[in-house]
Amino acid sequence: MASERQILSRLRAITNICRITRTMEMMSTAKYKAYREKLSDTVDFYDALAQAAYLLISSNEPLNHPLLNENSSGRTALLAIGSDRGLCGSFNNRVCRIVEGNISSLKERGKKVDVYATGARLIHVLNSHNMKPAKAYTEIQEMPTDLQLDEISQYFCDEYMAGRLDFFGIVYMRFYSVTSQQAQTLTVLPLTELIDDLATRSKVIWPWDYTIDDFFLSPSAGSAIEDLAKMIIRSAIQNCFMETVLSEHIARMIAMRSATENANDMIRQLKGDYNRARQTHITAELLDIIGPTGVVHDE
Amino acid sequence: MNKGKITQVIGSVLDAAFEPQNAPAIYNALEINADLGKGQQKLIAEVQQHLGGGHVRAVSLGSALGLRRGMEVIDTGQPLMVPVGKETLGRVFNLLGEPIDEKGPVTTREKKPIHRDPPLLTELLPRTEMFETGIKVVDLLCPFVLGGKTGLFGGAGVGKTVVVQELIARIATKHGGFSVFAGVGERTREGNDLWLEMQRTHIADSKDTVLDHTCLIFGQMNEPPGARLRVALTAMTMAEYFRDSNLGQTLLFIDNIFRFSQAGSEVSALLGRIPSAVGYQPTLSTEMGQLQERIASTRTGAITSVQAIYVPADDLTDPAAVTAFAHLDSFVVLKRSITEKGIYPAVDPLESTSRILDANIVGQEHYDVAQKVLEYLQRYHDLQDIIAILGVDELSRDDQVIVARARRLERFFSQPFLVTKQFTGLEGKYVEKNDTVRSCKEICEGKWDSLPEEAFMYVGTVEEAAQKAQTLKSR
Repeated sequence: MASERQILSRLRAITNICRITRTMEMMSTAKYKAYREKLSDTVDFYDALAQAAYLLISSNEPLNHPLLNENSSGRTALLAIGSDRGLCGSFNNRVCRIVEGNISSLKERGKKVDVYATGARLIHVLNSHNMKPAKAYTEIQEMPTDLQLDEISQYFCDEYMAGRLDFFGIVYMRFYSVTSQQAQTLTVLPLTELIDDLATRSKVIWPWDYTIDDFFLSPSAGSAIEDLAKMIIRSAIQNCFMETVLSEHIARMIAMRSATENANDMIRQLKGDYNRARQTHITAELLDIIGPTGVVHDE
Repeated sequence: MNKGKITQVIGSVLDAAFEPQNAPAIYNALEINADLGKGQQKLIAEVQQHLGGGHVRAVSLGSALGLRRGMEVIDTGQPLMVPVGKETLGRVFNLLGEPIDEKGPVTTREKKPIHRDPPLLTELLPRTEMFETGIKVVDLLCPFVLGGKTGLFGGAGVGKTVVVQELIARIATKHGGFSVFAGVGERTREGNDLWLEMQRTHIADSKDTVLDHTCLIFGQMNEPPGARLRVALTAMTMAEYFRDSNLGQTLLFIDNIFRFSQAGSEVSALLGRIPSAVGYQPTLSTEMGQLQERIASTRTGAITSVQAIYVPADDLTDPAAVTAFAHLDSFVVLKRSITEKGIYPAVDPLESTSRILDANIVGQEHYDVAQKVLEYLQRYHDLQDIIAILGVDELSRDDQVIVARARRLERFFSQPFLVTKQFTGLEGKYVEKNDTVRSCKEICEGKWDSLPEEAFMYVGTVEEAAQKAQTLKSR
């Protein structure tokens, strides 16, 4: 049986941990609510973009833009989005597992894979699994600023258009609902795949009452596509970040809630142990005094 | 003949009055021949104190039921004498040296007093040779010393008796010398089981059964405290004979030495001693010392002893456990938290240790592997609170690896026993020390990280774990 002092020091340590986990749970709850609102604000714009793009590529006019076309450079890029901080359960490990799966399937097809990663914690996990990122965006804090976002999307578009890249995907934590988030890959380039993907997931795009013939396009589809494409890519990246951050806070909320519960269970157990140890000690001392006294008095 | 009369009886302690000049010496055996309800019987008592004026205080070594004041007491003039010699082999005795297996009387050339001084320091032979048991966790972390003393510590129901019986099965069947088993204050049934088991088991490559080379002495929990207090000495006296007559290696098994202390404390207050810490007798460490010092290897022969030690309330700081600690070469601590995980033998690797776990004795590789194993298990132990609260995902990558290996090692230290085959259905496994060291080394190095944890449960070497993983997979 551990001595009372040992139990006390453990109790104190666990109480401190419990205090931290409870605070983190509350912080994540607040942040989750804020991001949830932001996400529902952006989702309409994102859907509208997807609708427009879908109309364009399904128009009669043949579109020919390097972002839409496939090329065969043999080099692929994955942008993995993770969290800066830990204490969010298996969040980063889940992202890492998807990255791993992507790398092996791309390598099977004979492609070269460069991993780009954000989130200090994820980068650490990737490193320890021998998937050192080609570039780590360490300066991003939760959500990228507009400037950072421009830089990222511009970089990948340029690489693709220059034919140095034939695939660009984002591995992120997709937010379905508060109870369900899943790590998955969104194919951004070639853009046709992204638009297909968006078309199937968008809430309002299908069935849709309009066809391309209902619109008068100015400028023409051919000249509008480049700006639209870049905007869509930028929004896709931003949206992925947003959903990941949202999922991160949910994951942290859940992880911290169960941590707090575990800590409370342990505190209860230790308090019981401590009281028992203390009482045993007192009883033993009393017995040590009473027993001999009895013997002495008898004689 | 020196005779006296009983003047007082309290429990199993009695006072007797002799002629003032003829008071019997301390430790002398007193005989009381009287009808105590079941016909004429002989009751032996042992003198413990002189009260002055020819009055002595004695502890009865049998049931004191029916004793009355005024009964006649005879001083035998000597301590209790028990038969020693080769004739005692294959037989079962009580503490008085009387056979209780209904196979007729035992006549030996010699009888020896149960009280005797321990061997002198100059006669002792310090041994540093390892004694292989084939139990992985024991051989790796708390190796036994040939001719040394080993204690098996454990609370109620963690498997002390099973481990003792397993050691008898493992050692006595391979061993050329003689074994002495002392049953002190444990279950009577276990004594019977052991006796039957020993009749069935044969010593390797010979027609002799284990019982032919063993003598058993019982003073189980149905006996009065006086009997439980002295039965270990009777066994010790018989074992000493084998040692001193140079007949070969002697093994001494005692189950359970704590009952000896407990019996001492039962009579202590009746003898008028003031209780000491936690209610134990003030003479606790003296009594233990007198017994333990006699269990020693001398220049004429060696006694290798294994003692089970009950730990009250799982508290290793209990005075009865502490006094035994100091005398031992190797400590095997059985822990309840490990039995709760279903791992048997429930040896606590972090608390068990041995005097000879030293690079100069067991070899550099064994020592290094043992230290590495302990390092991993200690780290796992330290992280346990964090894992319980935050989960294993929050640990750093290095710690996760350590935890994974520590959990595998923990399970790898379970082992099927020879004596539990009828309960588990698993064949007992004997693992040689070199295989144990190599297996643990490979687990520590990460060679077997890919196997599932349950593959390490109840296997012999690590290769068997790999096989088990295969069968688990195919299922």
